[in-house]
Amino acid sequence: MGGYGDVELIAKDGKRLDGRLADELRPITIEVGVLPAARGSCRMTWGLNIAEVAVYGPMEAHPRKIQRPDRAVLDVRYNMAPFSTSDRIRPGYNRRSREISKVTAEALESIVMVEMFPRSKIRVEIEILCAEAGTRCCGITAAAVALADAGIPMKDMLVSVAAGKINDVVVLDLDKAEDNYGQADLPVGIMPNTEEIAFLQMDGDLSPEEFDLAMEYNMKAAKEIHKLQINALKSKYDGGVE
Amino acid sequence: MNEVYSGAQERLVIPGDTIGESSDFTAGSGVIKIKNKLIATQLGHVKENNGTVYLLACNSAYMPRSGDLVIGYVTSMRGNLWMLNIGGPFEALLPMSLSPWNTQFGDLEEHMGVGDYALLRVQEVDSQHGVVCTMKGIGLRKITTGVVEMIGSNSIKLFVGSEGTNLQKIKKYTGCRITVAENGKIWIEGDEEGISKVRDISLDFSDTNNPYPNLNLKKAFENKMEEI
Repeated sequence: MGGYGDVELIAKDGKRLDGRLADELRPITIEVGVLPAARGSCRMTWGLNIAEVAVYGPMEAHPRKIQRPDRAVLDVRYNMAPFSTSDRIRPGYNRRSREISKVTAEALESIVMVEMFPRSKIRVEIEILCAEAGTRCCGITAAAVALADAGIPMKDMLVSVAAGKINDVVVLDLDKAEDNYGQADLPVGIMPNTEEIAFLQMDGDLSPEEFDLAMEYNMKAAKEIHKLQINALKSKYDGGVE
Repeated sequence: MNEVYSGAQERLVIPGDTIGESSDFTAGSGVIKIKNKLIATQLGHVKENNGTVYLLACNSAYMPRSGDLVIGYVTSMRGNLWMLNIGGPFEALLPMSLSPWNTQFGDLEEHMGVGDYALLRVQEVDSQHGVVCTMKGIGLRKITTGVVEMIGSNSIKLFVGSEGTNLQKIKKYTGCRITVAENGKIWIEGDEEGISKVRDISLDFSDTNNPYPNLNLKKAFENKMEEI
């Protein structure tokens, strides 16, 4: 949030800089099984964001000190490729990627049935190949699809989406300019079937009414994205059964 | 006939999908009961047997069970046991006392070292998913000849066929001795030509982007079986 409230991000006809309405998502595509070596994988494009996720395991957790006697550990690594933005990103872990990895692991732990695999580890690698605001939402949504593709037992799917505020208007799915110059950002992780919240973060300020509207937008968008997740998974496994 | 039963054969579900009401059915493998509803926990096909609804999961990990015949390779050793990778989430242990050799403490490498393959049977799986294997039993041994191929634990049923018909056909056609393990690995013994023929047949199963159960894969395999 840059907080530069004087930048015009919404035209008088209510359309945003890229022509979307306030409650409209950027175009999304989801492809399953893109990495042959991984147990489960997913490639997701969300506007100009491109994320690839690979899932390995469940496997023996190493080093042994990270093992939990009663459940599996989700080892999530979120990384932005050096070429993902116009300014080259220094390769390797940084404070932001550590934070997003932790948030993602905790969100995914609420859907993965970790108690089925004590002492083991499930590795989730999220690689952002192209970034244009909302990469954590893109990564988490793709990670849920890759986990389902890997056959990891889960209570529900997980969809992550963000709403925010620009020029005092609540909008859904902020793009780069809106993220930089907007007033607030509210990314959430939603379990689409039960409508439970797996994670919620907020940057900036929203009034209670604006917060409710943002959550309404997020909930509606989560249902739409969930349909895309279903279609992507079913298109891979569309064959019949013995 | 109710909704769950009628749609059981062809229905593909993803985690979180509601399969039906739990009043008439019990939850089997891959299904959990939440507030009187049966919820799918894995990507798979719904099946029903004697009032139990279960999932035939696509692409699930191998979970060892007591009595399973498995093929594994040694990953490390302690003074009195071998640790083996059997393709499951947990490493399996082979204690010195359950090996076919009269081994002294610390001399395990004389018989089997890191990277060696062995045909074993799962003796015990404890509540913490600790897997103990044995090599004492008919046919259980260290693998020193032939090759080991991976076809996936979900594909075993199709590969073997009803009452072993497909497996018998493949054995006859290739002239190879084939041992199918429940962790999705097969041990092929024979001449080079035979091994290459078995590899050709099992090639489709190793494609992780086209895992069984999949109609295309099943048809391709059945066509191959008709040809040979």
